[in-house]
Amino acid sequence: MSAKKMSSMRRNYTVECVVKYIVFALLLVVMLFPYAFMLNKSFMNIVDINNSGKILFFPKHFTFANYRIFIDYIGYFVNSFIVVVINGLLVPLTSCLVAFPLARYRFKGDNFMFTLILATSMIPSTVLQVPQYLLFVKLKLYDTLASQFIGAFFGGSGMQIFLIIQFMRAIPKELDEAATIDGANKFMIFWRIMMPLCMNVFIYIGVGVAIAKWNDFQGPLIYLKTDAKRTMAVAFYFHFGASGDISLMTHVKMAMAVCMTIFPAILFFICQKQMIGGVKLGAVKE
Amino acid sequence: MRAKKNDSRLGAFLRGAKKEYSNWLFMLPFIVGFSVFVAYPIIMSFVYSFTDFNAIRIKNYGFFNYENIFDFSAYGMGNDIWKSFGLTALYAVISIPLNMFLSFTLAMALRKAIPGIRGIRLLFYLPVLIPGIVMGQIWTDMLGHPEGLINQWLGAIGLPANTFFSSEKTQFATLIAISQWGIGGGMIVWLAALENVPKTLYEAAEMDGITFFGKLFKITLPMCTPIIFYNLIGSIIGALQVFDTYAYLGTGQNNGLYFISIRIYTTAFGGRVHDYGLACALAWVLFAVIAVLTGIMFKTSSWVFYGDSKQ
Repeated sequence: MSAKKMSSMRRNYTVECVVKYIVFALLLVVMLFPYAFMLNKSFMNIVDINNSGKILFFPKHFTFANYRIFIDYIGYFVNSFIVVVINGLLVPLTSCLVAFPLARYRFKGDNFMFTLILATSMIPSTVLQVPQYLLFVKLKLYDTLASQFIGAFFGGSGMQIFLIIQFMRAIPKELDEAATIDGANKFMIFWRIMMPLCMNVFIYIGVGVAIAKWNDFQGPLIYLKTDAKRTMAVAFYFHFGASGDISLMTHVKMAMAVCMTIFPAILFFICQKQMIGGVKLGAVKE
Repeated sequence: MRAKKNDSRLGAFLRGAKKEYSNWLFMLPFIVGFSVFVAYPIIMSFVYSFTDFNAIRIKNYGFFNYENIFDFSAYGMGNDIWKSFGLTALYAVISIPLNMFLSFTLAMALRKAIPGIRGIRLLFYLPVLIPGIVMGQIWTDMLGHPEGLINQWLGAIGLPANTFFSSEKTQFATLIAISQWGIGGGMIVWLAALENVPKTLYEAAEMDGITFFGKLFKITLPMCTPIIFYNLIGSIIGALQVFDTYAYLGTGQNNGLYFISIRIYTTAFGGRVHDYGLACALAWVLFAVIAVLTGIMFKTSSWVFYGDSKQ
């Protein structure tokens, strides 16, 4: 390849990059606009909010005072945190437990279990809603925080288990065969060999569950009655929603909105390697 | 001699059973959870759907809930109920393909590694990380009518104000539009799928002088079909259960955003009357719809290309 051709290719590449940056920048202005709106408004004071009827995009009187609302929300934050941590750790763990024998061994009834697990992912939660509610009332779980994490002790949803099964199937069989020869039993194989190799899918599912639980609205709406027991999402809804008593304090609302957004963002950024392209369906690169 | 043979058979059986029981031990949490939190409620839900259970007592048994759902007379609730089903179906039919197309286009644009690409991808994903009900509050504030920020800006450049969520005519389109801020989620899945397409396929095709669209339709999309399929099923099940809009839009103007899951919730828990029987019957109709759709999807899934791997 001649030097001239090389330099023209390099120039083409540069042009391509610049064009892409411009297009991406324009798109991102649109995509991140709600974000900017929320952030800006959270730094406004009441004068900026009223501003004689004219809505401001940028704050004129910059203030952090709105963020003091978070102090009132520490109780709800703790509730959310408990729910998120228990679900985020236990759902992937119990899902891995179920997935392990189905992915690695053949035994009587394995196909039945596999089908059953896949079928559960099709059941709309509304079908279970009323009897589950009555069951939770009977089990004294209604209006307790436990109602939001009890399910995590018993395996995740069908789709999550399916994903783990696909992931585990791709791990080379020789690994556990070698371990069996060395006298390891299934539990040792699961704990010492499979779990470390499944860390990526574990994190992928754990973070997904954690964020979903942080955002969950329907579950806490049905099960948590006492205000002090509510999670952040429903507390936010009851206080700042259309019928909430402070719904018109939009600057405070947006400060709280920013607080609500920080947790999923941090979690995602820490685990971004696993969350973006770290998990490939049924493929573990050796 | 015979005894010994029997013994070894028994031994093999016992060894087999011992080997198998550990498998079931792993699945025990799921089996317990499934029985208590899925199997039992699903049976009860089916039973309740044939009753007039109102949280206190059951007086009548029969098919009346299902008859009511299909009662399209002037006093019947069939029309209202099927409006909810129709809205939900419409939401799924429009938002899923739109979301898939847009997120795929975005993933294709962000596929090639240029300096800073990781950061750019993250920025596109950022709106997905805003909790749904928080995002809803931001949008309803921004799109307020007549004096939201967007309408004020429209006015400033001489355009008429848009009613967005405050009119029955525009609320649905507005909801579809704002849900597109979530395409970052689909984009991530697409990027993972695209990364899985073997580079050698493109190299071979490029030798034969393939066009951009040839590459797209003959290599990229077929290789991505397992993910498309997986995603499509997930999105259909998810979209048919859309609920979180209730937090910031309620049931919409003139019940124009009264999606079926919201109706089931309000029927059971919303009002002063708790009509558990009807709520369960509605949920079962929704379940039937989902089951039929998923069944059709699986039956017609011959377009899904699994390569030369097993299953």
